[in-house]
Amino acid sequence: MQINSPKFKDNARIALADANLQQALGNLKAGFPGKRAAAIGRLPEFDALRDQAQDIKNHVIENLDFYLETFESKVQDNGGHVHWASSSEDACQTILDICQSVGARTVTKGKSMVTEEIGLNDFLEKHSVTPVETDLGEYILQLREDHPSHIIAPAIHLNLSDVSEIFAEKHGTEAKHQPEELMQEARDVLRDHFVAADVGITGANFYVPETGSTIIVTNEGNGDLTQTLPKVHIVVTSIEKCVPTLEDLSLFMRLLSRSATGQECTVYNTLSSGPRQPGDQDGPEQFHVVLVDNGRSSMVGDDLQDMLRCIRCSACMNHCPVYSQIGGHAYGWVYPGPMGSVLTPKMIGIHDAGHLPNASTFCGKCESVCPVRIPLPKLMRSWRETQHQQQASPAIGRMAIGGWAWLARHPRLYKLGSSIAIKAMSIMAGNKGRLKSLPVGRGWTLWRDLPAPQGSSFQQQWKQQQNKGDKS
Amino acid sequence: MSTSSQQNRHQILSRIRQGLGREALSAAKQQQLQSAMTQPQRNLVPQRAQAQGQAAIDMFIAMATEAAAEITHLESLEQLPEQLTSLIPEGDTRPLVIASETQLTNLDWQSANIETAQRVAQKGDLISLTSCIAGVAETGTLVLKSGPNSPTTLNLLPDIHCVLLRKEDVIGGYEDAWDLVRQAKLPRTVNFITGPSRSADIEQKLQMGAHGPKRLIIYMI
Amino acid sequence: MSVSPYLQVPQQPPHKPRVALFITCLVDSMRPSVGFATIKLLEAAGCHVEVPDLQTCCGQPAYNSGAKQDTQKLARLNIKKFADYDYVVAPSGSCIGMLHQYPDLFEKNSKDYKQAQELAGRAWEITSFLTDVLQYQPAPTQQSMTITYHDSCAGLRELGIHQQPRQLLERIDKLQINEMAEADTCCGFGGTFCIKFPDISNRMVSNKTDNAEASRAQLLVGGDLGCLMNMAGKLKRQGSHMQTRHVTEILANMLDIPAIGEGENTPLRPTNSDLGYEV
Repeated sequence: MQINSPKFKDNARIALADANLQQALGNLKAGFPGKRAAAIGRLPEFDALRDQAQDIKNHVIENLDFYLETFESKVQDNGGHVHWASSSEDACQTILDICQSVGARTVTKGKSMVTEEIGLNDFLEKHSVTPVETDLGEYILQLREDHPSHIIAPAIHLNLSDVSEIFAEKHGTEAKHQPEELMQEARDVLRDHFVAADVGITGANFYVPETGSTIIVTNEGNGDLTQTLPKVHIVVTSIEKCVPTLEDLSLFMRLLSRSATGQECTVYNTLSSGPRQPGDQDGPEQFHVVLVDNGRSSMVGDDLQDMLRCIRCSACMNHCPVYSQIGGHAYGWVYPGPMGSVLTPKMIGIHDAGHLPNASTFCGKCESVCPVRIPLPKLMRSWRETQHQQQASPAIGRMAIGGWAWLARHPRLYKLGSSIAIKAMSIMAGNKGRLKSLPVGRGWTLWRDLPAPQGSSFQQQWKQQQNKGDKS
Repeated sequence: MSTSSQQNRHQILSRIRQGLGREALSAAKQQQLQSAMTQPQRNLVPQRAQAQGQAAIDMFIAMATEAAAEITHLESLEQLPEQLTSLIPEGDTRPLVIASETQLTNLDWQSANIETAQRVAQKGDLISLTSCIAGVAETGTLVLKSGPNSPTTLNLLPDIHCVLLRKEDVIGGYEDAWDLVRQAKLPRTVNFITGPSRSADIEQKLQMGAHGPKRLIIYMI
Repeated sequence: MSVSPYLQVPQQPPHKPRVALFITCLVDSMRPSVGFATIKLLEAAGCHVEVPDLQTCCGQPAYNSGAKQDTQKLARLNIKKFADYDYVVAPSGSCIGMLHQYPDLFEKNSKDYKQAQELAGRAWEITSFLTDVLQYQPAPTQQSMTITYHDSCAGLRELGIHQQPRQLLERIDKLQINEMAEADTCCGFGGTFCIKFPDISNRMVSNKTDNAEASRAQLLVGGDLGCLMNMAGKLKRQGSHMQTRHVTEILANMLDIPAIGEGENTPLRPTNSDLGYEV
């Protein structure tokens, strides 16, 4: 996927002015947060489950090498194959090789952010294998040659009319205007693809070393059809998505659906362990798992390690006051919102993704809803520290902060400086109590007035009062 | 495994170990983790998921209904064919696809005038009938295993999926379901199904019947 | 941004505790009246208040800009400045929240770390200090007004401040609190954020002032001056009659000074969104 993160500020400005997008984003705001809160209200143990989930994930990271090897051998015991991919290129090539080994022409795909991350669709198309997205949102996006703007609601940036138009154009049908009619049309079209596909590719929400299983969590059932009907099932997942046992899976199932959509339980939670077994009448004949690293192993032991706990529920972006104003495309790459602002710099480089960890007020809502308690603001701050150290942030900002911090360590000069500024602002404000514009800080006065100071500083006034008190 | 996969495997594991500041785990530590996996400990099980008996059945019914599953109570299994006739539109000749379980195949379908087929589901099938290994009370979730007599496609392709659930098979939580699964060889697929298929991908408006069944009907006896 | 582990309420607070007022750079330069209101409240609650000389800033702008070393230096200065008091209290959840993060700046178990922990254990935001630590019950007063309360992010999510200011305000007779929608959503200030990302910040503060006005309150109240200046500045730019004040000004009954961003002290008026509304 093309990287547009360097243009974050422009992207955001355009998004704010896009009435269609703003209307669509209203659906997000009105939906997920309230549903999540209601579901959690019905499960008094939710916070205790979050604590345990955090501990389990930390334990997994501490022993990740062991769990990966155990998972691999269990998959093999089940008759499946495990492939290790360090980079996107490795992963795409591995998947293509499997497809070509069975002479595949078309593959169906369940929704998978990892395959977005590795740019799988473009790669397959370039090599004459046609991928067909089957998740309704992803399918709409594929027809539009668009990309997801949200990790679980990929087409959240679109409105009904967008879907209506593209279906009529691409299916050559009469335009339909009810969501259920459009869904039925997609169901009919995709049914043929499910049956005809040579290979089915899904992601995995989790993998379980205890049993060598992968798990997908979906509402539509497309992921299940994708992995059941073709001869070959390829699971593309990343190395950190481990929950050691089925007991642990139970806990994460309780957290994921409530944190993501606010459902008590997502409709299909499906455990897949190897290919079809002797006597089975359906199911794939081959089962492949592609374990993608793509920079994750180098997060072990560094400042970003906590991010490896992420289960991609999207609660952070659903509650983010920045994401909910600008949507996911403004972030300019695969992962948007707070989790993306931590991950994207790791994957495409801080040079290109520099704005993302700065585009947060550190309001902390993301961390407060994270089911695995990832300290997202702290991790974004750690990127800011990296930028500061590498002098990658804008020089003028660095100088301003540096100069100010120096002043703050020299209180007498600070006092002098602030009293001059107070005086100047007071004069400019006159008797209006506020300023309409300022020579510096135009970002403020572009959109709002600046309340004026009250004449002199507190410390000055306090001194004066004390002195008076001493004299009287 | 290809050479590059092997090289990648080595690199990935090395980087993880480097990040953790250690070599591969000692045999003793590995043994310890292995046995923790072979005798997995339950995490906190919510109160709600510990329900038993009638309380569990009541909760299952409430939660499944909330998830838009339909529940029909039967006095006996023999009532099932009669019940299913109401689902078949007048003049529709498509067969009812049933799992090859004797408790289902032995029923008197002929008297009910229902043509049945025992096979995997195909595109165009209207109704399937399967059993399940359990109903989980905490979220009204059905647990189904794949096997020679229970093809997974029956749970997914037809427009209407009918599931037989015995009250004694209602359990409290997901953990209880895994205990049942572990009693036999792990099948290719375990489906946890909570209500019919749905999508909210168009304007976040929930629509039932995306790719999986449009209706999920649970016959409880 | 999780709740600070250093919010340990003492079983028995000392009698007439010696409290250092941490004035914070914004209150110091922009709105000293908040400082005086804070002192008035602390004294009414039985504290001996001192203002350590030559205060500057908690260091948060540097910390959030990635200038960790600068922040460490400022933290050491503040640790020293506020060492000898029973408590350090500020009229800001944001700045006290920063003091609670000082331990994160230093290597675990270093001398600095321990001193930072010790300071964090004594550092309180004013409404939380009055209620949680002192269990202070202000004398009943009367103020006829309808307010709405904005929960500033740091206070809410780092220090657990939500009920405390409301509890104090509810003791004022004839003061009505109309809760606004999304009271706990960020106003878009975010320190340097509002300068770096003015367009996004503007949309966030516009949402906030819309919600505030929709509450049909006359006065927007909060506990952090940065957020209040942001919201007041937006309200004034929009030509709103809604006024904005720091919670301490109301609790200390210091309403004779003009509200934030006002040139003079004007009577409260119905909001634009409901001109027929009378209190």
